[in-house]
Amino acid sequence: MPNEQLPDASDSLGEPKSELIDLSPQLRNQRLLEPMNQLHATRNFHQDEAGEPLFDGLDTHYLCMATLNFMMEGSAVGAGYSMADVHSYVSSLISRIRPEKTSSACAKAADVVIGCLSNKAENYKEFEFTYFHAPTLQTLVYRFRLVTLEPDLDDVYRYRPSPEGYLLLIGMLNVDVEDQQILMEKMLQILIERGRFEQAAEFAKRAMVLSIEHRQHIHGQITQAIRAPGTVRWTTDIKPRLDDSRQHVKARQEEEGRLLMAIRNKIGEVENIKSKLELSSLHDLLSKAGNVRARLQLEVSSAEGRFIEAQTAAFRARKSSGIPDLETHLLPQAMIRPGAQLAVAAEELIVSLFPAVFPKTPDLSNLLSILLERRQLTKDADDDEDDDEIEPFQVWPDPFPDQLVVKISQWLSAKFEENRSWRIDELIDAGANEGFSAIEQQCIAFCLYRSFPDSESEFENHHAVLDGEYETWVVRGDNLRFDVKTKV
Amino acid sequence: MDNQNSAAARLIYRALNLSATPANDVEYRELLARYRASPELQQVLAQIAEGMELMVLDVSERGLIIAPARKESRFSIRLGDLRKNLSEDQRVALALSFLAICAVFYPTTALIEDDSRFPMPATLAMFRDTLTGLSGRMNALEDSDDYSREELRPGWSYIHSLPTSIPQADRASPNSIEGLVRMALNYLIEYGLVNNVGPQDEGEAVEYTATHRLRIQLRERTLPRLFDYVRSGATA
Repeated sequence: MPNEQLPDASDSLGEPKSELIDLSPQLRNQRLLEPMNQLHATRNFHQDEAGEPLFDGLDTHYLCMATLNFMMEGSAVGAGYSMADVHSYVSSLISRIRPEKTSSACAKAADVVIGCLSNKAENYKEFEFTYFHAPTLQTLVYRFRLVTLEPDLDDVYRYRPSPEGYLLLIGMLNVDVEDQQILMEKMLQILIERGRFEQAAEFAKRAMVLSIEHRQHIHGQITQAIRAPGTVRWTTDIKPRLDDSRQHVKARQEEEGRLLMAIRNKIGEVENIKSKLELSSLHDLLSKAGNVRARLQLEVSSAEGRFIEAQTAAFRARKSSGIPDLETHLLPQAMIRPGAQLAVAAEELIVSLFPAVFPKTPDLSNLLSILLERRQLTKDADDDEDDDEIEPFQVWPDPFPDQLVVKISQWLSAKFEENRSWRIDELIDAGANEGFSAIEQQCIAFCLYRSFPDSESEFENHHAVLDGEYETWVVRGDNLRFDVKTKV
Repeated sequence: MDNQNSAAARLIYRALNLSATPANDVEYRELLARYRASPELQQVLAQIAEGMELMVLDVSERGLIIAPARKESRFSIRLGDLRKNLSEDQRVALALSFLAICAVFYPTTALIEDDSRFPMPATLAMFRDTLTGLSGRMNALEDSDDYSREELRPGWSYIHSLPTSIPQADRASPNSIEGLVRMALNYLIEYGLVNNVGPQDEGEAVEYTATHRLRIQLRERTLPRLFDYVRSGATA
């Protein structure tokens, strides 16, 4: 048992043993770089339109980390950068590093880098690696994403680093995971300090986004209350949220007042027209954020009344089956069941949802109409094909080249001139005796089967009939006997 | 009696036609009125339905809802009718997508059982977010992502492993959560369980509404089955 020979760290050093010798988490975290390592290893396979290596003179690790960093920056100051934002950033970064590259090559390289981070090669599934987990002495599977692509409130898809993506970035910076939040705040501060008005505007935008999110959250709570009044408890579920909202609105309004005052003073102080314009637009932005908060205040103040209305509507006589609610009980409970078990019940559950329908009869006229139907590809059309990449059609080489077939046919014709009956096994034996190779013996069978129907037969004076089965070391199957045709 | 037989058969024929509604079919309306008034017709129809391996789920002014009596009935759809070659994981994910759509329309049993209340219209984003939200919450509650035995991996973990959407994907495919939800919605629309009402204003998302048929199918068939399944897991 090799394990028994490990020094007992807890005894010798007085420290917890697992802390010292469990390297598993580090091993696991090291796997986070694996996707980038794979891109690095395969970088020379990527070519631009001119056939030149796409990543010639480019450090793929740097590009991936810079892209991840850009995504982190986007999620710190807003809801994240859109797909187009990220693509144009990476493309311009490549163009800055290698100005001689064409814009299409830069765009293609950017596609590859973003694809690497989001696991495009595996159809955007999670990355999957194994690592050794020392405490349990097992090799475990580690699944993770580096980035997430999710819609914001306006359903615009935006990239953000996943928790593992952050871990990777923070690992590069030698900062503890626990300090992630502090890091984000620091970054935000630095961003604000770098450029005054521009960054202040970003901050104001973020505050507005927060306000919108907050308003949306309250709106969601009210909608939930109307949809299912029985599932929401006013005192525990909604009231604390509304109190938070009131505090949020109050704090923001105070800060907004101070900021607006400061901006107005600043506009009077600065002489540069550009700065005046920037300050003026910042003033407008803050006023807009104020409008969002005003709507939030309205929603908060009317929430109680709307909830009571919804609750009143919920009081009614009902037939109760006693089955728990779908959204809060049945669906979550079904989801935690092992997938293998759920798969057994899945078909019955799906089928039970569908009504009785006329059976699909394979009728000849239906079949013809289906065959003649011109299919239209619509955007939402469901198709059995997935969104996978198109694979080239594989061409299998012909096992019996024309030359071989001609040679064997000539040999067979000579045999058939003997004016006697022949069976396949006899002819294969004859071929073997004459030193034919395995493929040539198989070709004998091929040529003879081809001549089974009289219309296709190469041997006009013979007629083929079935005659049991045969087996040789190269081929086996139904035996054919070629009898001499009797002339009428 | 012959008249009753013919009326019962005609009513079953109407009920099997997913696009027929009493609102725009005078004969259907009359047959329904007769059915509700005549215990004899009800009996005859039940006998014919039984012989054809069908069962009456609900009768109202909105129509007669009948369902296959057994999974093997000739009138029952098969999973292969919807989509062929689904892997085990994809089958689970599709079933959960159907259930998530139903949960958005009918979050509570009380709403399903109260015919006087109607579910609110919903958007594709709401269905998608229900699935991602639930799987995300379950993942956050999970101590570790390590399952030494793959067959113990819970159903939500496959959903969690899927991307929310695939960039530039036009077709509904089981490779993303949004694709799965779109697939499920397309089937529900095809079989008259959900209607697509289009966007209210330009730029707004397409809205979907649940039909009466979905409420009945869910109430009479899917929900009791799901409850039995969940309960059997709890006691196992």
